[in-house]
Amino acid sequence: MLIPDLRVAIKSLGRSPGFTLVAITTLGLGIGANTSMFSILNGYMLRPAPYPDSDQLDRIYRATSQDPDGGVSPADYLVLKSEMSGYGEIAAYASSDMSLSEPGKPAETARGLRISANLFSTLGTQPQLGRGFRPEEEIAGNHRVLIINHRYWQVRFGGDSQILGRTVRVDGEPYEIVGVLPATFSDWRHLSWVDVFRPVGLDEKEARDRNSTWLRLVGRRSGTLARAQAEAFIANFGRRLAVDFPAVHTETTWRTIPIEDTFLPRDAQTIVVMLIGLSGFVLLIACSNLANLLLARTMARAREFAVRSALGASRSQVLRPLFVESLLLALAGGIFSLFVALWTFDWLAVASAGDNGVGVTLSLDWPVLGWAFGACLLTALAFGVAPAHFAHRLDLNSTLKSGSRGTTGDRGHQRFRHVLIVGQFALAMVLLAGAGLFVRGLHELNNRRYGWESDHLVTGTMLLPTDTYPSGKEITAFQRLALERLEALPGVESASLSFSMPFFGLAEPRKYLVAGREIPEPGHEPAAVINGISPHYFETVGTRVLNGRTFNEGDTLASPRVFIINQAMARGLFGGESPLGRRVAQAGGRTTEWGEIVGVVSDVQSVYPDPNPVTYQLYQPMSQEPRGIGEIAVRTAGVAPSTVVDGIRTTMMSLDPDLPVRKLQPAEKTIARANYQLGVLSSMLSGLAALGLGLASLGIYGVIARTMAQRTGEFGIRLALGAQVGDIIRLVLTSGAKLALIGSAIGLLGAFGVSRLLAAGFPSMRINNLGVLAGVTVLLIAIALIACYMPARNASRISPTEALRAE
Amino acid sequence: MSADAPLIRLEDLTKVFYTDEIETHALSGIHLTIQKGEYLAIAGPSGCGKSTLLSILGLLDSPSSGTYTINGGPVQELNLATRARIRNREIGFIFQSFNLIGDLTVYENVELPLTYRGMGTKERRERTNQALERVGMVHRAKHLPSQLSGGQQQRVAVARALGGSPAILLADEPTGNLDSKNGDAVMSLLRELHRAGSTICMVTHDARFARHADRTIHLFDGRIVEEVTEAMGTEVVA
Repeated sequence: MLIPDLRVAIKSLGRSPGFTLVAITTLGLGIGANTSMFSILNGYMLRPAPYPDSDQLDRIYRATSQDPDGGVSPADYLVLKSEMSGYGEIAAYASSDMSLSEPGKPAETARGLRISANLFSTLGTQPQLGRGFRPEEEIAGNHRVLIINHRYWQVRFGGDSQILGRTVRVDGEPYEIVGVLPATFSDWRHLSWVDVFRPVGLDEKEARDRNSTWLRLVGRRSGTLARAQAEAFIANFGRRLAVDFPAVHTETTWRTIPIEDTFLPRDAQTIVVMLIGLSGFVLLIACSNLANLLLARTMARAREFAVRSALGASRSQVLRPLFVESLLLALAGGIFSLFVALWTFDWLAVASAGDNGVGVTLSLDWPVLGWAFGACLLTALAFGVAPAHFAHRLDLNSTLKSGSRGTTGDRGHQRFRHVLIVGQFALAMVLLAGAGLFVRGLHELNNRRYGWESDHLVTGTMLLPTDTYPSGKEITAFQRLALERLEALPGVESASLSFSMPFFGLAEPRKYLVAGREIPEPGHEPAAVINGISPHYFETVGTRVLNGRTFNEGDTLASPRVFIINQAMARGLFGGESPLGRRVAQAGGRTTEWGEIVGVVSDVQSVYPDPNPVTYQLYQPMSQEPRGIGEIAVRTAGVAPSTVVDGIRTTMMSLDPDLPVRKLQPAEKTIARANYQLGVLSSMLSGLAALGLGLASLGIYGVIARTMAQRTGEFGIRLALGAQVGDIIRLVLTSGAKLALIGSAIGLLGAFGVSRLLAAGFPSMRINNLGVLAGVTVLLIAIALIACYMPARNASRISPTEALRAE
Repeated sequence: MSADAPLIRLEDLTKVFYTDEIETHALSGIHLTIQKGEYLAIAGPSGCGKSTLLSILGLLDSPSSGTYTINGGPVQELNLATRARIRNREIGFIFQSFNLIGDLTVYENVELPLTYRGMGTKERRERTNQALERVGMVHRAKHLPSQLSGGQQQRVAVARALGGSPAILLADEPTGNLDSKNGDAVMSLLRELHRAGSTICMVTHDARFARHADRTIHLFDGRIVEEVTEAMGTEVVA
């Protein structure tokens, strides 16, 4: 039964290659966009974790009011580790990029992870070559061993089968490669794209640290422990910590989340679902176009359907080939859509790639293929209904009697086509407005320079190997020398070192006591994020000093402690009084070391869309808490920042050839890279909007061109009666603009809805922008007018004599 | 059904069209019988209801009132599917404008109604070839309608109507789009078919062609006003 219909449909489509090509392309793009967006959801959320019995794996978080998915401190981890037999296995890890070098090869930055020895066994995997880490290698001093991932083994070491036992230098220290992971161990959703693993190697100071929450935890419940029991175990552990260490753990809760629920944050889930919805709009626009094209095609074939009916074809016999034709088009579009999806995967992999060139990996698996197939069936139904309805309602008598081969359709069909166009423009408006608002918001966010200046600035991360620089004295001496040399470079105005750069926020929160005030309950002290800085930091990063002084060479480890606070902290703690000379101390330490506030600077804010930025910011001299790792910042004067990058690297290498300086590049580049996820989202929204707009323009062009062809006789009469060419053009343009205007007005309502969604997802972005909405409306009308101009010009060139003869 | 029972019987048939509250009586009080093997012509001026009557006879349209029986069975209130089945098996259409499907070859056009009948390939092929042979168009089987002259196209249309061995052939102005030479050829073909036993009902406004029929009824303002039989001469009905 189906085969003859299939044959008829193939034959019929083959006879209209232009129509078939346009239809398949339109559908391919529409279904492709939709399938691509679903692939993202599938890739992040629906695909199971690549670990055996992954339903027994949970992420463990220390939740605070600011960060519900917070990490834990090394000291807390060690306590939990000692008690983990009641839970199962608990492993820790922390992101730690490394500079990896070998004799004769340039040093390169590798994506690294410091891990507890049991991470791989907890996740349920073992190295393909060599061995895993031993428990004793978790201790600093024994930790100079590496396990590399399969891709890195292939790319960096050419798949060398003799790799085990090879020594490489990591951050200036020799490490031995003891294992290679299997190729199947690919879990970018959990551990990101890690090249190299090394033992966590906690030194004594780190092991005691209860304030810095840089470790991440993952646990595998023992077979006998239900999820609720495990959850209770961890929550109970958190409660005990709050009792034992109230200064650090008050108002914190410990919680567990199934690992597969952590791959995409909740707000990101909303965005991905929104993207699928918006891509559905593109698909609807494509379907409307197809419905219009097929309706026109069916009208042209009206007589054929009437003849078939007259010859005794039943209703289903007449309609079936139409449905088969729609289905064939949809399936061909579906196949095309898979290529669109594959292209999107490649694009996303490149757009999301980190420094090691590896990005989000999506694939065409069964759920994606199923989604594409379902979309094909739904679209076939969606755009096949209108022509089928037309064919079904065909008046056999009048159609058979009419002299022409086809029919132009009645007012009802005309209205239907106009409704489709209005709908297309409404959807295009939602897409364009959504993209426009987001791109504008992102642009503002990326260009926000809140309390700092990133132009003419070069930044990088310097790491001093602990072997060469074992104590604060050596560290401070080297840093001072390095800054002197850097500031002496031609074109350099000033240079500084700091714990962190303001672009990405000051990530280390600490609690403080204020001298002369009642000491709050432990854990309820005011919190501030801190930054350790060198003397010329503020002038280098462009933060204004509002009051008092900056740090200088006299502020050393041996001198009295001094602090600089930000304006918000000054106002919050001291109101209208001057904070200068007041004393504060870090809470929760073994001793209380008071320090004097010597200056006030302006507030700084990061480029991230952080909904709850910490408002209190406190600076201390880096020399009073020396660290081997620090952010270099170099401000140039009169030269482009990129021109001094090589000079900085050479200077640092002349001081210590083993010294790794990572990510040394103009700050603007680093900042742009930091918000790459938003950039990717912005590109996707823009792509969907462009596609929607293109398809809607094609739609309005088709409908107006067809309507104009039907009105040839009318234009002939108008011209015969003395109408000017301009009158005809105006008439056509007005009819198109009217449809676009109505569609845009309806679409504005949807645009407000999308802007609400985006505003909820990105609270720190300014999403509402009337200018963008007005601009988008003007753009839509302009596009509609351009699309209508061609048919309008053709209509104006009609010869009245010929038009009237045709009539 | 007895041997003398008519193939088609219309009793007090009316057809009213409603447009914008205006009632148009296209047919009123039509009583008509068509015997098996008869050649009937329906004549009358433009707008008299000829084509409406033919559409009702061909089950393309339904009467507003009255009864219509084919082979003794009432057909005026049948559902769409049954009407389509009867059209396919009992009625063969020949249109003024041929109504061949341009995308199909001559052979496929003739074969088309047989495919709707669910007929096997072999039988379909035999019947199609026979029909084409009867109208002398076998040599053009693989051509598209656009490659044929008007007269040839109408012969193909006749073959398509004949292929299913219908009880009656309904021809709506079959020569209306043809020059006189081709018109005569088509009329000769219909005459031959009638001689071979086919029942034919033809609408025409050309008295010359109406004379080919055994009996001619004249319509005026939706009523049968005159009936002329070859043997008995004119009978004024109203």
